[in-house]
Amino acid sequence: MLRQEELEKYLTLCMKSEADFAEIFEEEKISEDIAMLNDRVEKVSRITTKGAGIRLYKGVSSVYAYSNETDEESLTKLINDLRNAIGIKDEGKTVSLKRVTYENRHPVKIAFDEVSREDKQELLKRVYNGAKSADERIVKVQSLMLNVRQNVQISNSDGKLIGDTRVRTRIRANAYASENGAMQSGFYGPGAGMGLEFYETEIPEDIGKEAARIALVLLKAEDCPGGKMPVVIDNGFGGVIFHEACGHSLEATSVAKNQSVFAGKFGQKIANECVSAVDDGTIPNAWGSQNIDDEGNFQQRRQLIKNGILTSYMIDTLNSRRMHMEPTASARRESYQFEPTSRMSNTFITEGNSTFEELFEGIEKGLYAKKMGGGSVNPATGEFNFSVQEGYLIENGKITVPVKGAALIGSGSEVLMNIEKVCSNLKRAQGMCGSASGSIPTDVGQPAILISSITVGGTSNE
Amino acid sequence: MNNEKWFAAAKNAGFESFEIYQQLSEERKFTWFEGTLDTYVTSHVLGTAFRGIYDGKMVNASSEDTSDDQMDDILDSLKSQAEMITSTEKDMIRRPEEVSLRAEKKPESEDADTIKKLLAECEKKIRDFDERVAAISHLEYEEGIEKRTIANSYGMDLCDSTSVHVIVAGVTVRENGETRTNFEIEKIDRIEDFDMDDFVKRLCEDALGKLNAEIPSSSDYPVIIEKGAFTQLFAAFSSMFSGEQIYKGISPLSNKADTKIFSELITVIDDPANEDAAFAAAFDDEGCPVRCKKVVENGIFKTALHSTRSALAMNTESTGNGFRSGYSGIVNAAPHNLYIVPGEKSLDEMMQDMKEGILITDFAGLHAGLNHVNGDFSLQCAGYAVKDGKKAGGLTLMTAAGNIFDLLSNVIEVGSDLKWGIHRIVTPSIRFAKIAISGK
Repeated sequence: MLRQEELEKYLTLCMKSEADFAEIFEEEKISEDIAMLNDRVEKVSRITTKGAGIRLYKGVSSVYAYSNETDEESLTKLINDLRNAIGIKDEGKTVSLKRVTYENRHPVKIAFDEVSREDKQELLKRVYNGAKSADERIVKVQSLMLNVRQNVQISNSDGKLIGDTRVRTRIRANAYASENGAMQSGFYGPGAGMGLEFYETEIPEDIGKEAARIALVLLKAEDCPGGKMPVVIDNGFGGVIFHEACGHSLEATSVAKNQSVFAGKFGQKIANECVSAVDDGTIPNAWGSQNIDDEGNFQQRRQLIKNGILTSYMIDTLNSRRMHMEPTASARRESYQFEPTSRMSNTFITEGNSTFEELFEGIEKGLYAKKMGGGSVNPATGEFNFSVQEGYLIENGKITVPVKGAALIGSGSEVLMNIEKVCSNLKRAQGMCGSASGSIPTDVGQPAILISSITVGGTSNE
Repeated sequence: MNNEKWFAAAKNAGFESFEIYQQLSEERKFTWFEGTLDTYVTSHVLGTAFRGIYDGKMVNASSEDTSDDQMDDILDSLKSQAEMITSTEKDMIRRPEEVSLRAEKKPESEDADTIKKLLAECEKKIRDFDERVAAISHLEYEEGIEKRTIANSYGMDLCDSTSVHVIVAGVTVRENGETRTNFEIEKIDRIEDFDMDDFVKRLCEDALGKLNAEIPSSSDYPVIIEKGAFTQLFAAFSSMFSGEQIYKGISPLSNKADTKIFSELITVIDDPANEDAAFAAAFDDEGCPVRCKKVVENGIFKTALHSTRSALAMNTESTGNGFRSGYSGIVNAAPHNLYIVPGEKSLDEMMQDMKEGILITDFAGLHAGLNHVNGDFSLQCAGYAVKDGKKAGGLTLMTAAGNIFDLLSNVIEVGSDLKWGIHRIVTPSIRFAKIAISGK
């Protein structure tokens, strides 16, 4: 990382321009992947990322430069390129920095690089054992352990100098089940903003078992019928519906330029009254948490929707200028190679009052989506889609046969109004979210919910 | 960095062979919003990947910090990886072979004022195209250069570079409270040759055509999947051809060599050196010379795509398909300039032949709605109704579901409209007997 006096010199040079704000983001990241096929370690890789990104604002315009070469000559060249782009001046503000210190909300007990390779290998073997012992039809198990430590240092022309260390771990398990020539796979991939102490509570055998259970259910699943119907979406990764149907459309990235269905809807009713939702980047050791966002502001809990009313967007500082609203510490980026913008952290619908059983009452024919896959959205139209990994038919209020190949599609503004009941079994799950500033870890989540009507895409047309 | 110094240190540390792969990426990007420069991005990143054989095992690391004081740390980390690997898979660093290097096409870099003028003019043309144009959500011009070098302790020393300039635009149109969008990307070799009117027309007409879109009734429909959309779907399933997936038994093509997998109308070719493609390469990321091969010939699966490792596992030769996803990615067997061989008829002619049905122009959620193990898919899509052999009203909020093998076994006609653009995998538009659509 650059020293304070070096940063002050570079930021002062940045400000000898038409810019009204300058920022330097530095990053050093070690990522370690260990891949196992069945009970053998297949691949191990280690990636070191190290570089800096420099950003200058002039009103609502920005210029950004990044490089892995952070010597004086390289950085001066980049800064002068940016000054040329934004307009050079001979004079400017002299920047002096003050380091901000704070208490780490996300402490790590067992750092991944202090754990022996045998112990890491053993964790993955336990995943394999969990999956393989589930059933003799499990023919293959792939597991991948990802460990990351990212150190960042952010300094800006307002005099802020602040750092953060983000540590994450995740195991992704894929189990393959085969019977009578048919093969299906099941996936489960829990993670956290923790060290390897995570696997003291998230038991590796259970990770393998869960992936195997899904693959085995799919072996006997029938084709899913298509059409509009009521759908119960269970907790955990089911929250991807809120992430896609609403979350992305509440990011300033699309709201600031009036390109979201929810632009101009602040203070208005956008969801059924039973829906309240938050984006909370402060949850200790959660997968999508940080101490500070990637502009150096302390993470917050943002109440996005309260009893159906839109109460907050997710706003970074550049877009806050365009929107004339306060930033909400929502700036995130994959690495120094991306200019930050407003993104989600841990986003979920909060607990409601219904019991799980009540969600199914009165449904003659519907779909119970127990485990969701991923999805995507077009924020301008609000149209979203996501896939159902593990689904079941609901017939006369009861969960019946498993079905495969279901996708749910709809428009965000409509589906939020159609959430009729919210249960109290809140659970979060981990995913990677891709958008303008790259791929970042985010939690999705919700209690089980009932959507009165949504289009189910299936393979079986009756 | 001094490669020889690294090779010597690796040898001293006990490596049988050692490879250094470097990728230098430089970019210049301008985005434009409401009459002014919105963002300008410039970058210079040199990434380095190290591979080596230690104790008979291939180990990998990559770093953006390759100063000499990192050498011991990186070599120690690689050795420790070798001790961890328990797989008996074989792999090797390749010895140098003769490579027919191609002449590199390098578009000239444009000055900032020319680019700003281009973007301003393009913005005006989009705005003026139709009064229903509500916003230009994205307008960008980008120049990117990637230089790749591969050197190894056997004396390999290869280098090439690719430069691509593109313009990207997104438009939002509105009418009676309904919003539709479209997005276009086009490779520009020289600004003076860029047909802006055609680009703007394609961008806007597609978005406008989706207005007043209806949701179709759920049923099986005859369908044509337009080239852009089928390229998306086919590319998403392309890992089925990877030798790695096949020998591990997790590709649906495992044990399918020389069997009929698609209609006899389908021939698939992988040709990394194809000069029509933006990213032509004479050698793969292991330094193996590439070659053109028929992956599927008249519906028969002929060959998997192989890296050195997958070829060794299947007792065959590499097909020159050992590619990395970025410098930090591990070498995998992957397609590079793979395409479905085009047929005779244009999209319009295929619609005339079909008379009634659906034209799918876009899929969404391809990262989630696919089953790579068996080829099933269930995806959100958009497009148009086809009536009396012509494109009629727009269709939205529907899904198309099926199985890629069933679909490609029921081909009626392969279109003639193959276009490479900036893709590494392309297909023409294809007419299929039917597909299950869920809507109302």
